[in-house]
Amino acid sequence: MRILLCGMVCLGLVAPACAGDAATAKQLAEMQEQIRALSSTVKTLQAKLAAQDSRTAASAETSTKGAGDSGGDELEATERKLGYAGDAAPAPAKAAVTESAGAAARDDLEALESRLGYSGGVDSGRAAAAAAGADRPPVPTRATPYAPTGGGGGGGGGNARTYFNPLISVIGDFVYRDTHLQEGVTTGQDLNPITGRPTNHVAGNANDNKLDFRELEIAFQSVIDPWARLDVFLTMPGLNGDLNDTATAVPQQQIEIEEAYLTYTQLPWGLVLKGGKFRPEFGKENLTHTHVFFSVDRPSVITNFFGRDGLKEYGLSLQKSFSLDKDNRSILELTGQAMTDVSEDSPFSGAFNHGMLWLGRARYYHEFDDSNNIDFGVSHISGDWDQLEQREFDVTGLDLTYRHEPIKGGVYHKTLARAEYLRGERDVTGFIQDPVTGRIDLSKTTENPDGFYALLNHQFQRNMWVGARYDDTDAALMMARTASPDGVSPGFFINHSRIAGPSLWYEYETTEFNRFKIEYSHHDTDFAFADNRRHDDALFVEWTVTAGPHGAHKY
Amino acid sequence: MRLSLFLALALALPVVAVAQPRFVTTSSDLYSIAKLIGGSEIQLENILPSGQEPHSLPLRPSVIQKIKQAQWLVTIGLDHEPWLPDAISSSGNQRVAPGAPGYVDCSRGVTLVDVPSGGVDRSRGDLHVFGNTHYWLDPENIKLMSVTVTKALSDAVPAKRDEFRNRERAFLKDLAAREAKWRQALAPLSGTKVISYHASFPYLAQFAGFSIEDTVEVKPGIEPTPSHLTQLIDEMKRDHVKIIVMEPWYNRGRAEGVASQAGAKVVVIQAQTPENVNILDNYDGIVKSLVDGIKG
Repeated sequence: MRILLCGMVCLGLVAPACAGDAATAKQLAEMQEQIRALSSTVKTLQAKLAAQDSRTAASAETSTKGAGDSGGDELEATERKLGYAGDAAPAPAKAAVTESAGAAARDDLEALESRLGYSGGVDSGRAAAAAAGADRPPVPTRATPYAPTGGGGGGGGGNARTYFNPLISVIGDFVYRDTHLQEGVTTGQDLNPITGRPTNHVAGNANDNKLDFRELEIAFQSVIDPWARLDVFLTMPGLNGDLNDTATAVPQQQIEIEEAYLTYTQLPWGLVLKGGKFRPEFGKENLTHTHVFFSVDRPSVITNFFGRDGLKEYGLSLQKSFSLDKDNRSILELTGQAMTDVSEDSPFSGAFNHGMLWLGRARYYHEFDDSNNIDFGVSHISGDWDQLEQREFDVTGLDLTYRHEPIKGGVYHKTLARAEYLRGERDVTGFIQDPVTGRIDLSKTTENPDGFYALLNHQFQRNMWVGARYDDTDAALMMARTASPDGVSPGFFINHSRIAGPSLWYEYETTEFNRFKIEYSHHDTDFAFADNRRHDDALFVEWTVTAGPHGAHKY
Repeated sequence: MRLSLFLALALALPVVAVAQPRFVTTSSDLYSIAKLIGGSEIQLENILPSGQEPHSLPLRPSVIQKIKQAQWLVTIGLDHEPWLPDAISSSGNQRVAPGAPGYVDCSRGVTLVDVPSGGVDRSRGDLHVFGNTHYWLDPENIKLMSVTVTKALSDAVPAKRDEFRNRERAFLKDLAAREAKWRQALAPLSGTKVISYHASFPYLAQFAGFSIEDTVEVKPGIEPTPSHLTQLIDEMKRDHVKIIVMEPWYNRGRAEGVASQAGAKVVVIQAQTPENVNILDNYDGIVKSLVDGIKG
């Protein structure tokens, strides 16, 4: 403004010397007059600004506490303190004229000193940077506590790399097991003819009466870039290994990949793409990591249908959620997954070749209010159980979960009720050998194992839970090739053993990172291939510890 | 003819209205401030219902969906909401991730108290690693929060900047007037020793002038052991501590048990503004609870 005025003044002074005629001289004289008027106006405004500055400086020093001063001065003062002063420029003139060169300079200096943490008195650069009005304070992540103090706002360039470390957590799951078989019933009658393992989930073995870790899980979780995050869960099964396993007491302490997947969350239409190794999204309990069970063990129907540790496959997953109402209380989630079966002793491979699996799931979630919600899902997975003959095995599941999590008192009381029903359809066209009579039946083309569980888990104190579950399931893994009458056509052996019984548990935690659980279960096994029924009792004691910021599991 | 038809259709098309920006708050106190200043210019949703313990929220699909749809996420910040990073990550909404334009951290400018020194690990319980996060219980910090919310609103709807700032001025004026009354009402409580159930009230204590001697929880987020309760009762008797302050979502029965043995009383503080209530009206209630509870 001043430069423009000076230029105009100079032009006005110089112009007459260059003017040639009277008309031009007259115009120049008029211009000079206008310039003098403008100059006078500018001086008047400057005087007013200076006067306003001195009044503002005086009022800024006055305590605003209880003073009832106008919200306007206080607003501007607070905005300057928080570093928002620049935004006030286009606002009402009153706000604009309260800024003076001197006050702005002081604010800028104080802002810089606070930003660098020189204002003192406050621990870490974080609060100082926030008070100075820096562009957004450093992100408070779970990794930040391990960053050096003062590393938030300003210094420690070398240590800044630690901000990009993944979240690392370690979870130890220790189990003591004691099982009691019914007298007179030997383990030989319940071995899976394919795997040599017993059909039910409890059996005495050399691992009884020992405390050992069932699993050590190490998790690495990190945002990779603006579009994807990586989650890796490594597990090291311990001596106890699988609670269903009655193999000899051979240590299994080798690292396995529980899950390792990349998730893209920035796709169009809100799609979420996941790729890698993951637990297929079938129902609820197949998704659950061992240390997150309500009970000590996984429900029998899951282990009997999907293997001792459930399904874990390599593949791609695509998911989309829809809000069905404006309050987001009803949500529909659709999932489609294409996978290669790599699970141990899954019904889709077992002793046979690994093939493709296809999964679809629809999940409906509804909140009745802030304290009660229901979650209903339908899942279907399809694959070939016999790759050579391309014989299909499809499993359809229904799951229902009800949660009561009261707003007030929810710290101390919560209740969850859940049930899952699975039904399989397996192509067994060919020679089917009756397990009891040994006769070959050519008419049977499909067989339909099914099973369910229902559980209730109740928190009655901040750190105590009780729960119960009932299992009733076919031993759906029981398939084996047998010799057929003609020696050429395939023959199959189906074991229709059925396992049923209740489990009860109690959980106590000192904190959510240190939990103890004790479970008693009783199961009856009806063996179809032998006129025999076995009653098993088992006692489990579990200790689970978590170190590090383990991310939340799916709700 | 075709031109006429085209013009007719073009004119018949409804004028596309500019959608209101969608603000999502992580507490009912922030919701109240955003509603008072933002008014009908924004769409507003809240995640944590009033009365719910704020540090542990299950990541329900509804929570994820709200964050997914948010254009502005207004938070208490620091590590007050430990569930929030997972929720934002699950939502995939980068616009409201920490540091992004839509992430509004209302801890900006707050002078933190109870900033931990020394090593930070879980032996100290669920420690707030940056400092205590319950800062909205000091009216001076409500002022800062409201200015930050106003800034976000102004960034979201620049055309309504003047209107927001006028409402903010009115809010600050109301706050200043009430603050004077609160100070007057709380003056007799200065120096009173209290026990708090959870470490929630250092800012309130700072404003109201009472001192927090200990907590019922043995460590933040950890329920008391029998030995800690015995020790606490002895301490209360010895130091003549007659008040236990607590939020409504903690175990009142346990607090009453301690109070009865120590010859004290329990004062419940509505530390979260109820739905559709003005945060300043709620603070009136907090002051009344304190005054009635401590003096009565």
